Amino acid sequence: MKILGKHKRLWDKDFWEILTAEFLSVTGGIIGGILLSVLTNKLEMIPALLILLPGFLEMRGNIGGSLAARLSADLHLKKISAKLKETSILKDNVLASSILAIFIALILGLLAYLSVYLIFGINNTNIIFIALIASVLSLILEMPLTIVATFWLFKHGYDPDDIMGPYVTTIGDVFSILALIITVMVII
Amino acid sequence: MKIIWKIIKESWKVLIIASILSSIGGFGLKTIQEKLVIFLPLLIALPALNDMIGDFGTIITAKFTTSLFEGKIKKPLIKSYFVKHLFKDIMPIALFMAVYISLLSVLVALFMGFETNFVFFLKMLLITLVSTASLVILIFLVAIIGGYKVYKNKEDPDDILIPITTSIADLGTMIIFSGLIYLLF
Repeated sequence: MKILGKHKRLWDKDFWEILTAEFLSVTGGIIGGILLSVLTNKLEMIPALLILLPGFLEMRGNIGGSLAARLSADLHLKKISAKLKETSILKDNVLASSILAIFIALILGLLAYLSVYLIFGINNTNIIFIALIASVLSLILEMPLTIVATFWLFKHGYDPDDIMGPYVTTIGDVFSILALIITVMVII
Repeated sequence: MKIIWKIIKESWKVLIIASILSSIGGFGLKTIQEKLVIFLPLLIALPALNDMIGDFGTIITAKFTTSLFEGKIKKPLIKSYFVKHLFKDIMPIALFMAVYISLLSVLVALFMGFETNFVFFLKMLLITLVSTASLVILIFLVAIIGGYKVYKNKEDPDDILIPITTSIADLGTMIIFSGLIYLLF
């Protein structure tokens, strides 16, 4: 019984929440990988794309992850109500995340352009517009899903801290790669 | 308006550094680009592995930060019940998911027409397990020790440590992943 009790403590609610979220996240990541194998066809057309890609995905995951973690902390500390409504805290968080996403995308686009220009001598400014447009597109797709999911999880007794990290990076990866594919197709 | 500028002020530098670090990882990927395209399961596994290790950075930081704000964390950090308990939750999941990633990416690649064998699968398993175990331990230490220091400086660890841990995950995954692919394939 002692052993059972110990195992019960070891595999608690957090364990199962994280395991389930990771299971879904990794499966989503594999979908991202399949989408990436589609995008590799475009890599030769836009050489800076492979340099932009990891930073772009990282930025989207970070901004979404931090947004969800801040909202989760505010929910746990009862600074905001579990009922999703337009509050100044929520609006400020959304606005700050949007400004950061566009600003960092611009920096990443410029860096990708400069590195390809300086290393390979290729002068192609498209990568800056690709970074900016794809960032706005993925913001429109991801932000509402992140906010609604954080509130929904908290309201239904789950800890968003366990679930939102994997959730945000998964939808971030899938939507960001999709946004990049759409933008590249429109621009080329 | 005060919250917006607080978030932007705390986040922008670390976000730029984190994104640039990941872009440096992009150069690493470029060096093994040919192998990635030839060995399809590796390409399919990469975003999932990257995501998973980054996710643990977010989970550990977010849970640790919430516990700090709730006053649940006592020193010494590494020996505190919460930290030990979190590690016991995270590590088995990480290793289990590493096996799952290897298996699923090989299966998907097989479905897409890639020809493989058992030795290839074992190499793939070794790459995902070594990358996962080493980086999860590193991220855990950074999130807990760094998170406590950031909190003591009256800043929000969520804003600073999440980008840092995920960029360690990204860059670390690409370095270890590229290195092991270079050695084993």
